[in-house]
Amino acid sequence: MTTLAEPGSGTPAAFGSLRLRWGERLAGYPYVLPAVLVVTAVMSYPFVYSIYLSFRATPSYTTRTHFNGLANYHAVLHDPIFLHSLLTTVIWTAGSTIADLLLGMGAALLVDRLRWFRGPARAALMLPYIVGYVVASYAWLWLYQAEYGLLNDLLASSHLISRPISFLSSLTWALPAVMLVNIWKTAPFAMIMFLAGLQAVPEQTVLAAGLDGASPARAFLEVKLPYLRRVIVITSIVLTFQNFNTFTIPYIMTSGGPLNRTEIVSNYIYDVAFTNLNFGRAAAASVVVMIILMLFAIAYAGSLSRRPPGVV
Amino acid sequence: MSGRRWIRAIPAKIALAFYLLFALVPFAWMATASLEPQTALYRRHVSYLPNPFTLANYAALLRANPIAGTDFPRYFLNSLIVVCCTVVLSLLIAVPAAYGFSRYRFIGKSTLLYGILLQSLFPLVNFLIPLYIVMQELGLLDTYPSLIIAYLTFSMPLNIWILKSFFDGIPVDMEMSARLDGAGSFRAFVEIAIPPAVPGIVATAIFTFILAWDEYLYALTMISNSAMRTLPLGIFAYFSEGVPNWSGLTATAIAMSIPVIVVFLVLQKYFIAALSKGALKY
Amino acid sequence: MADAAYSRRQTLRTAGLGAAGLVMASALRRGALAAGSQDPMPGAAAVAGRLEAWDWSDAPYVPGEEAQADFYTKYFPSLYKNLKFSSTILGYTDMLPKLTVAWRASNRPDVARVAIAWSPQFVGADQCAEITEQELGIPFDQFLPGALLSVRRDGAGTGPLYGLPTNNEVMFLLYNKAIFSSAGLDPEKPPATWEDLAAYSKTIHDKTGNYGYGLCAAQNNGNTPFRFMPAAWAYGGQIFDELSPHPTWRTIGLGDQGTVAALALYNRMFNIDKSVQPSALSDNESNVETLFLDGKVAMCIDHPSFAQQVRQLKPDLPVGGAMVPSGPVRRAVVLGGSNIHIRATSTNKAAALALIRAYLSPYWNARLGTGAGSEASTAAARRSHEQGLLSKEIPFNDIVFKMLPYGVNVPLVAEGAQIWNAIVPQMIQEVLSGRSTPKDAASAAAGQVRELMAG
Repeated sequence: MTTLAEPGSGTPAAFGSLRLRWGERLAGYPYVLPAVLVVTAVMSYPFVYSIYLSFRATPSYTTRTHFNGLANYHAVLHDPIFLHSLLTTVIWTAGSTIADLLLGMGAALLVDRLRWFRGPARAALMLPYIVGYVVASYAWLWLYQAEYGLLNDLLASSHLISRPISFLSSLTWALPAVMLVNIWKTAPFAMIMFLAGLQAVPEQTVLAAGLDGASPARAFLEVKLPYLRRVIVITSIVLTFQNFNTFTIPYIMTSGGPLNRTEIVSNYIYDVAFTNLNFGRAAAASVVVMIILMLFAIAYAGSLSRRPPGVV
Repeated sequence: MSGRRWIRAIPAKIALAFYLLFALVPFAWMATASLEPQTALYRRHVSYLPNPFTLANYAALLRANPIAGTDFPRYFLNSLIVVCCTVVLSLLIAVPAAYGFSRYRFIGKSTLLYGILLQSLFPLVNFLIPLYIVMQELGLLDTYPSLIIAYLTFSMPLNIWILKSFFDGIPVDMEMSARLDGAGSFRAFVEIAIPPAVPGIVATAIFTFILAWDEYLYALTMISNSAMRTLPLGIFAYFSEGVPNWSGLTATAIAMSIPVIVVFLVLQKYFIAALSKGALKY
Repeated sequence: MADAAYSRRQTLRTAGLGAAGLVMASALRRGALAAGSQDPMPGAAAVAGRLEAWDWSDAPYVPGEEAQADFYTKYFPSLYKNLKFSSTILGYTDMLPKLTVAWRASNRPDVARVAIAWSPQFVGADQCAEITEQELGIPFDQFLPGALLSVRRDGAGTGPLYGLPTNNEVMFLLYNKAIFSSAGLDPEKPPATWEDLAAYSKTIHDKTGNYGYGLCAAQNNGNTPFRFMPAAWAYGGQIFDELSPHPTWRTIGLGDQGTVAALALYNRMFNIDKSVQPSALSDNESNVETLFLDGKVAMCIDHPSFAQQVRQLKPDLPVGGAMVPSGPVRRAVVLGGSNIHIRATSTNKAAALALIRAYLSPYWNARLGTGAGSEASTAAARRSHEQGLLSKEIPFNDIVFKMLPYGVNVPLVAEGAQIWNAIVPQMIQEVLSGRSTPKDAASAAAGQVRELMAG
């Protein structure tokens, strides 16, 4: 999970000239060195080690590994479950992110209009985000339960079904069901971002639009939306990566089932490593995923930097 | 005028009510379930009020239950230690780093900065496998350091980025004048730059706290000794020993959520500042 | 790590013994140390030097922990005063990785107890010392033949032993007598064959609306094959050639008609009769147990410790126990348990053997086995007086003892984890979800195993 700051942001020009005058080319290093060392040790080293592992065969009964070229990659890229999990992850990410944005925007607009109830409403709507993935997973696991869950109870009481439906066992409904949990948990993040963005919209513009007789809904959106474009883009980037990297929800709720319908790449990599005990293949899969994500990141960064600075 | 506006606002109020319901119903259910005995949950129709009512599940949290394999006080302590150490360690390293990235220009700055960002985009599971192997070789599995170190994979990049935004938002004038007066760079940093950044530091600390408190994947992999479990794993314990005890589980879930909820409610504005500052500052 | 390999969480239940067990255990304990220390040990003074042993425990589990602690810290050291003995008790999921590393790098610990499915890795890497009947002093026919497979090279049926079973466990069939009665079935006549089980399941569902058989079919979960393979084996199906007394683990049996027949049985119960709970595809044993407790499911296969839990949580539920049903070919159940090994390069084999001898003595074999939620590995221990006392606390223990000889091994190969946890459940899910016929699903699974073993 990350919050992105606009690249190239921050330091005003005045400070720049000051630095040049003092010639402190090296002054910055001591500040960043500990962090760089830590990140190298904890992230870069594992990253490189993954790549190393991905080219080795790792039999589960020994810690001796040997080089086996591209065999792991071949296995992974030809594994129908891996390819399916990529597809599932794309659906999961796109679906969750879009729903998050819509729900978050809706909630933000509604909460923004409140006066005295605003704080409590905002806090209540933030609860799903605060309590974390684990609590969310278990709560919804029971709600979806076939025999005793709330959803089945409601459906049965309204006489819509005669036999309990196990949502998490259904080939068609399992993925939407777990996606709903993810949306439930992450939409508040979008709401908060949009709320902050809505704060930044100048009062005068809003009032002017209202006085011009524009209908509240459409005009608000067409007046406020341009101000929110930046927030929307950044929020969607953050959510995209956060959703792509989810692990907990499918793991706890369905273990990736039924028939891999809810297996997203994080679960796949974990299963290959810790259920099938094949670290080399898992490393290969994780390298493939990293390459995909890097391409995305580069594309996003490109689109961000093309945006003219200071736009409102 | 105001009457008509109020009426026109009704659909919005209904929509808001639906949102609130959607967000809160799972919690309402959890609260109800936690106040009922274990066997009461298994019935045809869901009861929205605890029936029968009991505080036994919460009472059970106060002590270890070796037979059921749960030990809430112990798990709470483990989580507290791991998360607090993570927050402190992250901040100690990230605050200077963010300051350095914000104020200074040096060779490789962009590379380092974007490198850190890039790596934080990867799924945690990617780092997990090599870290697990390393921890195994070092004999650090089932220890606090294994988790604290592993948590740095998400807390460090996050902290650096949020804090950098906060530092960027603090005008450099005061530091400049202090430097011109002859103060050393470090003194300027500590005495001039940090005080105004304290809200940002607090915000970052809260955010890290909330993320680390719920962290499941690393804990699941690094910790197998039940005495070292953190809270998210502690909930899992309710499943692994036979018939799942949903009442106990929901009571644990609620008890586990209380610290983060309290932290959030009390320090809401800092938390929201962290979220939005990090992204909106430009 | 959850669900690693053949997760012990599925083979061992811990919550069962409960309060009554505590009282029983502490009573036994007082008599224990005195009784145990009367075993005559040949040449006790000669056993000297150093010895290091690793064991594991599913703590917190009070009675088992106590027994282990007593054995390692009180009883054994008291036998051999000249021996510098140290023992470490690890967590279950920590044992394998730590031991793998330790034995790769050094020859300590000298002795280690591991789950049955881990033995092939150590035996196969030539890290275990051979143990002969003479050295040990306990006849090998005391042990279950199936258990001995896992301590031979390549899981073979004959050859030298590189370790010894310390405890074994199997599951059995539990059923709800009240539901049987209300469905018109004789509550004292549980289903004898899998066909009967399917028929009873249908009757129960049709007549009472409850589910007949509680089925686990979750993927990436060891519980699923633990209940399916007994059915497959009963019909003569197998993954490799584990049903033969001398398995080679090279021929792939998956895809044969036995497996297909078992899949067809599952399909009939789930899709045609609809007498199984609809959430089977995402259920592991926890949900089935929940439904059984609630009286919604009439039959399920589970461990003895679940029967104890039922007794604790719902004492008025009339539970019956039966052997796992048989099929046209045989009766079968998964054989679980643990083995104890000596490091091949250990410098103190005499002391190691002494430790194992003590561990396997009837009194301790019984106590440690039961303390682990399991059963003693030697016949002598199972017949012993202590076992008799312990068995009083464990419902249906007699049935479990009767099932022990029918135990069949999980695949004793390196790829076993993936086959067991991923390929077999997938095959079952293909059939239950209606996407494949039993024949196609079984052939597909066989193909996957073939690829896996080749690559």
